[in-house]
Amino acid sequence: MNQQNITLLPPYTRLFGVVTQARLLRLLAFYALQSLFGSGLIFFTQPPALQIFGLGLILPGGGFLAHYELVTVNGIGHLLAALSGFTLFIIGLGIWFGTGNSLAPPIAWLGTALGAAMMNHGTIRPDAISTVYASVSVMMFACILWLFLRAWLAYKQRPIDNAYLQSQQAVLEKIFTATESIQPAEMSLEDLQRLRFALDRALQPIDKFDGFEWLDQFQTAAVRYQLNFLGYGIAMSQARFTPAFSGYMDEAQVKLVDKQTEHRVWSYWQWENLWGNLKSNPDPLSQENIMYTGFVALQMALFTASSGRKDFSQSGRFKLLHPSGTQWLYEDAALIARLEHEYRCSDFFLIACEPNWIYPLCNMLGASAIVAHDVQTGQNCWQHYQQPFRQHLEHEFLDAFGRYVPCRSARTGLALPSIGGIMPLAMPCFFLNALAPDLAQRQWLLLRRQLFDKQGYFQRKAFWWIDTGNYGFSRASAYTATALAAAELGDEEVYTQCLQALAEECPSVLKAGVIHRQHASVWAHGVEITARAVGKNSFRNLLLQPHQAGGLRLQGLTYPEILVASAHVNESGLTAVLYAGVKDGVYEISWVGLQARRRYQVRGALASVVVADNLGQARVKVQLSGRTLVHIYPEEKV
Amino acid sequence: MACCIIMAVILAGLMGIKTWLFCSAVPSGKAQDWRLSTTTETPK
Repeated sequence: MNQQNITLLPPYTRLFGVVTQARLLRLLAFYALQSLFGSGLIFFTQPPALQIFGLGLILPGGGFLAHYELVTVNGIGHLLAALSGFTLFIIGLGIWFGTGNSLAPPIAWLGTALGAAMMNHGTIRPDAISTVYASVSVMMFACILWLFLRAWLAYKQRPIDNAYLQSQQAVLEKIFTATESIQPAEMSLEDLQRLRFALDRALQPIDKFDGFEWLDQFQTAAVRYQLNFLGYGIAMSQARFTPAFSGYMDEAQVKLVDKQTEHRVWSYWQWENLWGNLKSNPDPLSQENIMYTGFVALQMALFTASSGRKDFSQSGRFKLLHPSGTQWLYEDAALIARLEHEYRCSDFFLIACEPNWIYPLCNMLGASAIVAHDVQTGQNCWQHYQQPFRQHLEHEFLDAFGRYVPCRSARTGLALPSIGGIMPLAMPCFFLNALAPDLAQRQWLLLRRQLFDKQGYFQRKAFWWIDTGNYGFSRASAYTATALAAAELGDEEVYTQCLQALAEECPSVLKAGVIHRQHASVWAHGVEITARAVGKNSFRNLLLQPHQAGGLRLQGLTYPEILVASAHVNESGLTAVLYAGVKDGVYEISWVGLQARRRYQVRGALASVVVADNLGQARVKVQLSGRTLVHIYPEEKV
Repeated sequence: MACCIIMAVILAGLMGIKTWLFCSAVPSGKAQDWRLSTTTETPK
């Protein structure tokens, strides 16, 4: 159901949120102290080395400016060294962002200052000091100018954005055109062939990772995200299309969660915790790291919601074994408890991924896991966190132009600008719909303006050519992630346009009964499978109304020989649509959850009547040829 | 001049490390092309 009244953006009354402002002022104060100390070295000490070090403290690479000039080769060399030193600091910032390495920027800064001080090239040139102060002053002035310009633009833009939002009230039904269908859904053969991409990777042995992309394990191409989204895709598919089938759909999800326990998947944390938090604990669930804790918790939650099984609620079921022999035993409740603990520890309320870096998207994912766990366990933890989560999201992570920033530094308050095109704006809407559907709708309406021109043509240029799943030159991840959010919110037009663009730019290849796409990462495949399984409010509804275990269902089907396109139970029994995954022929299927020793009629099988055994199970042979419908129901209900 | 060369070498080395860290394998599409062997099914 669409929100009846669109939530508007909060009034733009301050540059930064309270916590962000405090962090930024602290950063400025620290730099002021450092510059003061550097200035003291320049003006109140005699040795050139100390003075040069002082220059280097004021500006990264500034120490090399002590002997720069433009008329000699040596002088130009010093200028280039200064530029290199500054660049090194920028690279350090990039490493800090990419891996949470808090040591990189200060090491680069202090290292270049020390390096310049050790050059022993004599007294510093008089104009070197003024050059350094002038450089810093220009940069400061540029920052201040940019801040004022940004504030002025934002102050003007905010009422425009809110007026636009209000204008959309009358056309909500034309944007969110999808309806929540109550009819049993069925996958097409092509959908099944796409799902097999996830099932193939999931159903191999736990320690095998054939078919996964192994790049770095720090950023978005990490294997853990591939595991997450293949798992989400199977869960959403099972929930929507095959709720009355367990078997390999359950096992695939279990294995994808178990693969998260493989050390090579979580070993990155040992390094990030060391150079980011200066702690030697390699346990990825010990602190922050919501990109692991929250994402895996949601995998577990969606498994339970789609299957009714509570495997990961068993104490110690999720075991992390370090090569040193140390092991940590967790279960889903422990992951949720960790998230709750981190909420209480964070001044921003939201939890960091890499040390110090807080991503709203990742926190929406983690919060979704808490919501799901609450419903599954009959608790109400989320009610304690819902309001502060929303408040901090709106006041600390909304930028001047009404977009959620990709991430913010918890220690300095600095935020990454909203780069990346449509995808980073769209994808959060999928998860946000389960937490605050009014905010999801608002953000979607705002970003949607970029997707169509005045003539109503879809703007593919709004999607960046970077597949975040493998850093490839492709828009696969952008299209699939946007389609995912569009499906959840019910925007059929955007959903269709995204998949159409995806089909044109990343053609499908059918091989051995499995479809994959060219120019698309494994992660993007997982997102697409999820998007195709999602209908309006599917994710939200699954969290709030999880499936229950037990009852009549199909089981014992061999993969990939038998593919299940749909399996639903109603008053008249269980109806399933099957396909042969390898070749047409006769295969055995079985059911569980029948009434013991009762007779059942079967349509679509080689036997028309079966009798359930004492355990409530029965099996029958079926001739699979194309789309094969099988229906079982109690005999008297003809 | 010496410090310029030193810095250039350091910079190049760090760029190389960065490249290795984040782009240690050029996406070849082989991962996407992989299929589970049909003899390794998981009957359940």
